[in-house]
Amino acid sequence: MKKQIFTGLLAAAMVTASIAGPAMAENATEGAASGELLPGGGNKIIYCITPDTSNPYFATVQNIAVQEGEKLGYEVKTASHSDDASKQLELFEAAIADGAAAIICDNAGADASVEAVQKAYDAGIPTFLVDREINQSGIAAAQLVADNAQGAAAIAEVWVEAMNYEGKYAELLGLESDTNCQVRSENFHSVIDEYPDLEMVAQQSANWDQTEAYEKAESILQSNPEITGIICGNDTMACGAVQACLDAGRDDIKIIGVDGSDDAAKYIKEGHMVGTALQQIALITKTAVDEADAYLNGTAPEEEKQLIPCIAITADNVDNLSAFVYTDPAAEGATEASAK
Amino acid sequence: MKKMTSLIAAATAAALLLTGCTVVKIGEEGKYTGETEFSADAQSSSDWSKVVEEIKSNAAEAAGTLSSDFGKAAAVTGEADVAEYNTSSPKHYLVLTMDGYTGDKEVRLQIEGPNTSTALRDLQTVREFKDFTNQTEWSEYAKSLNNQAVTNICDPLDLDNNDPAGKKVTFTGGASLSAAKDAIIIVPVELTIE
Repeated sequence: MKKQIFTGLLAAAMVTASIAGPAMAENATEGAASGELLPGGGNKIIYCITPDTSNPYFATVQNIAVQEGEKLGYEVKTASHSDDASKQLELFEAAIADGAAAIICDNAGADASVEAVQKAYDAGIPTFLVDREINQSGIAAAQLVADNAQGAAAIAEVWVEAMNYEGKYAELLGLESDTNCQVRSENFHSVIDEYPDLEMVAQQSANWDQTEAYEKAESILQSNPEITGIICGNDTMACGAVQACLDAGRDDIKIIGVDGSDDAAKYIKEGHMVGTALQQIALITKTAVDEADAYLNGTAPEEEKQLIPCIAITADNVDNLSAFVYTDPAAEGATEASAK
Repeated sequence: MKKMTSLIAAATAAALLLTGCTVVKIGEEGKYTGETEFSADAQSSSDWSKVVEEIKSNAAEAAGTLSSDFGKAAAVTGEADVAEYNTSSPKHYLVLTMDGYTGDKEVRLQIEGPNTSTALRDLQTVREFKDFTNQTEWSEYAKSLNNQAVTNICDPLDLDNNDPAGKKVTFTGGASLSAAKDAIIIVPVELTIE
């Protein structure tokens, strides 16, 4: 059963953690030093900690973790750190105090999250990072990373062709302190900047937020009516930009996002978005829970860092996308053929 | 007098403390800490010959391999006719026709310009993702290997002044689907034009 963590539990957990922490840390460090697997905290509980679930992408992480974890016999507790590293650390401390077997985490920053993951490691609890990586190896049991760099570059290439290699455009950035914001923007530009006739005339942060993206896009359209494209760091902002363009009577603007949400898929089908880069988060999360279960039963993942490619979604293949799951028709055909 | 003695003592102590210190110039910290700044270009440059050898030794016959579902990337080698040298966008590529190719996608051999292929990186085993701090460095390494192909393989052919259309090519390289999956892109590690 999916449970939200209450503030009371959190406070109690932090007190317990501060008492129990040092002894557990000593044992775990000994184990890690001798090459043994971390034992977990003793209870058959998996914590799933993510950014805010108002974004369906992160809701999917929690839903899949609950679904797969319960299937494997775990109680799964979910919580959101709202991209706040301090809050994330408190949630890790709660998980430690609760004797969690493992933590699944879509983290709050590549550098800022190292402390929390280290704390879980010191307490003997393996962390399985999904979606976003941290800038340190050896403290997470696994880092299952969506290849944002490849995904952003791939969808930018599609967008460049849709723009016919020319025109003025705007960019809506995500939360600028978030590593993924930088990675996606850099990799959009690694492609787009190679085309001298594509000119960026506005670049603003809409902080991953749909309403903010609507307002920013509306304002950009008023001050730069000559633009013919908007590139967005995620689908939530892309959907806000689409709505702003449609409300302004501009159905000619070429828009892309990143994530692969059902809302973006709908706009791609309707011709209001050129495409999105699907991060296969359902697959990533399921794999993380399965790897956590295998780890707790004595088998560590072969590699800590695992890069899962993104898929460029356009009008040509959008029908294969649903709930962040891409079903490859060729693979399905092969499966059907082999079944016969 | 006491004051003077104290000052001399303090100066002597300071001088003694500084004796044996090494002044480290900005930018040369790595010489002493062992940590060096990441450079995809330096890594790809030193790896290039090994990457070329690995892809050449693993390359399968192109027409047959590319006619079927070859997955994320494939090392291929073969002969082809150049149907066109496309320079209509900053992305310059050869359009190839090959005997025995039965696929429905256009087969392109990338010459220069924007290139998001990660085939060379994904087909080599000299370096792995875990060897890099994060996906940005891994991505830069892929782009840098592609740049090595341009510098070492394509640029010397000077195709902008020697139109290869209608000629035969022999090639070895890393193949993958384009972002929109409507074409096959080969990044060469070996290319000769007759």
